[in-house]
Amino acid sequence: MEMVVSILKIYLIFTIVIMVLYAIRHLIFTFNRFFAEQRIYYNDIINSDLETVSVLIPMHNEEKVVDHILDQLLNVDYDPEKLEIIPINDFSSDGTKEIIERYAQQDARIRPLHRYEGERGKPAALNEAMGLATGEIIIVFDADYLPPPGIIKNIAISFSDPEVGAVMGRVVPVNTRSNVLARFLDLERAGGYQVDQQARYNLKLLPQYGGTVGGFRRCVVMDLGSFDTAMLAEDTELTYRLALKGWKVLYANRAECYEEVPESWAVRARQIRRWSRGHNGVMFKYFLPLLRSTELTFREKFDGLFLLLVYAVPVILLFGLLDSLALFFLGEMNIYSGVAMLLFVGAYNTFGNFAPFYQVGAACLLDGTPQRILLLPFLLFTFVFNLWYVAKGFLDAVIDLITFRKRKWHKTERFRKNGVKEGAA
Amino acid sequence: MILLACFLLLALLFVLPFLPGIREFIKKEDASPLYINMNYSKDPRFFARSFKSKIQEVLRTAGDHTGIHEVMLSKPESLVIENNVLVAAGSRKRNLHYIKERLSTEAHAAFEQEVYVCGETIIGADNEIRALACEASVRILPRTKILRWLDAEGDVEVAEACDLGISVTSARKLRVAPRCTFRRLYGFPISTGEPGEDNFPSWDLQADEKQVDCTMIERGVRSVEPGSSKDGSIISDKSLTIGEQSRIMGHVKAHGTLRIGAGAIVRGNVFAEKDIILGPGCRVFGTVFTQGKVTCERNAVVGMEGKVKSVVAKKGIELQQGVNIYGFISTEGEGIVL
Repeated sequence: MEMVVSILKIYLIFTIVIMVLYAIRHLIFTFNRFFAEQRIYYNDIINSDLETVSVLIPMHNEEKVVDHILDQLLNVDYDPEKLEIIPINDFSSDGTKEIIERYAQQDARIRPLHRYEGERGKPAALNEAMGLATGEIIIVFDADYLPPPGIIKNIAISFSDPEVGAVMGRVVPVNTRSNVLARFLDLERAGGYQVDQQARYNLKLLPQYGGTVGGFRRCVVMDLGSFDTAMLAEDTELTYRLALKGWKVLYANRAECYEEVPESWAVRARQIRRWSRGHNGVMFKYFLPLLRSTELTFREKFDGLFLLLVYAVPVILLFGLLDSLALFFLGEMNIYSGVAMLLFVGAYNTFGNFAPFYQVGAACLLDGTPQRILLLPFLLFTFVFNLWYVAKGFLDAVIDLITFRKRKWHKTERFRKNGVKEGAA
Repeated sequence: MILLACFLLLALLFVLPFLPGIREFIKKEDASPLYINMNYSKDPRFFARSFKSKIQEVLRTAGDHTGIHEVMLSKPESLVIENNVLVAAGSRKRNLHYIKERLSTEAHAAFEQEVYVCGETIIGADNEIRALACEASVRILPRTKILRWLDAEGDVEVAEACDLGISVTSARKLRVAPRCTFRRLYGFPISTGEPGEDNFPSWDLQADEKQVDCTMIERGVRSVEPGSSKDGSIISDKSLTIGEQSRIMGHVKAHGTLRIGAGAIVRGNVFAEKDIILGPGCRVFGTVFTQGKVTCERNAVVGMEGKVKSVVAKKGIELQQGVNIYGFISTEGEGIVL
């Protein structure tokens, strides 16, 4: 019994250390955005010799949104001679194919790829499209996105830097007026991009390539063996693969693009569970290679570990909560006593517990939408919701690792109603 | 009773943090999606184009006969339409102006509002101009201050010690004299040489044109020997010195300070995390970008005829004499011609 209690106590201390480290990280990012010097981004550069670009849009049954994104992309401010748009119809059974074909007949920049054979899913679709693409830079959008005219230039200009392997833009929810969930997700996105990703760019850490509203060098990714189709989080996997080979991943805050966030809790649950499963799959694959890497600076490696573990932390915390309950009922909570501990608990409750919320609040202020801050207390509920589904995703990833089972790609349901695009415009 | 009161107090304390949020859910003050400008496209001459299109719209509806017109731009304004204008020394113009022919000003004159000139413009010494758009060439005499922007379809020539405000742009040549300060310049080329000088080397530029594979990168380089040549791009994790007369066919990136020696040539772009010093007579065909300062020493050249390239530096830009830059210069710090 003593042995069990000791293990429980050690685990609780481990959980506290992890939580404190993440809290410090959130606070550093928040303070960086408010008070530190901000690095300028490449969008100030004007260059008449931009690279050729292929825009890839993976689509599976996207008839609700396909015409919106194609309309937007046909209006972008980029040399038509240097731009091609490849909508990838990935086994669609609705009207997606017909809509794409109609656009392709009207504009030579649209070169569709229809896939009804081979492996389904985003990584496989991107791999096949990259074989067809002629652009030096590949830019990927999900089908529900509404790219503004300057975004291709804003992303492509980043590759003027010879060290940049991939670039991630900012995702902004467009359907925030639809319901409460969309507003919560809007807050999460704001904190994640405006503060977290931008601070990582400022601090020269490891911003994450998110697989959409972003681009990468075709020759580099093909040289690295294209996307791993066994991975559900092919974007995170690419981030680490590039970083381990010495390529930089950047975040471009000005490359903003509207997206549609889930409006149903069930869809959100599936989405976050899939993200957790995919991200943790990447964590299992890259944890040791990251530690051994000689290409990354110490701070990049440190941040890379934080990022890699980000979907494992809720699981650590969940077990930590159960652990503390067990210790409480066993009467063994006397791990450490004294004034120092009291001060620590007080300080952590003041700053640490709220560190992620500070990040979201800071984002609301930087975005000039202070009323959104009033919704912060509600994130307590999404926190518990996320904790549960992230934990389930982690379990999926563990089972994937043990059984080598094949991952199946699930598409996120769309909620687009007439007028959403016009509302954004 | 006490128990009930305690329960109600507890419930109130629990609900209290959520009340402002519930109010926001009901009132939806910040419920709209974050604003993204769906018409934004980067244009260094945006201020002038926007202003000119507004004035042209007014002229289409109100006509362009001389006199004072009450017009509606972003707010009600008085627009003065004139043919040829000579502004006397020390006088101040307080209204918007549309000048159909030439504008010239004597010393210590000031325009407090924007001016749109269709013909040649000569701004006298020690003038203060809020903003000026010109369809022809512009000459600015010493110590004049541009408060916001100046744009010309023709050549722009700026004399010593002028403050060039937020931006000075030209569709053609932009020549800037010593002791002028600036934040953004745009011209083909932007030059700091004396009129009549020809600083361009006689290399056959097209013969040097060579496609560089993006994976042809030499990492960890700290210096390039003078007179040597590199076929690909080079990246340094610290500071980097490129020796005199050397040739780099790809791009250059340094995580510290980057010094490019006299007469060296870089075919691609040049990036650094700290300062960049372009040595005398060196040539960069691509863009120059840094989080620090850029110093272009005597006769350094960035870009080439017929292309648009940029020199972007967060902390400041110093241009010595004889520098030519084809395209755009921008800094958040102070730009100065030495």
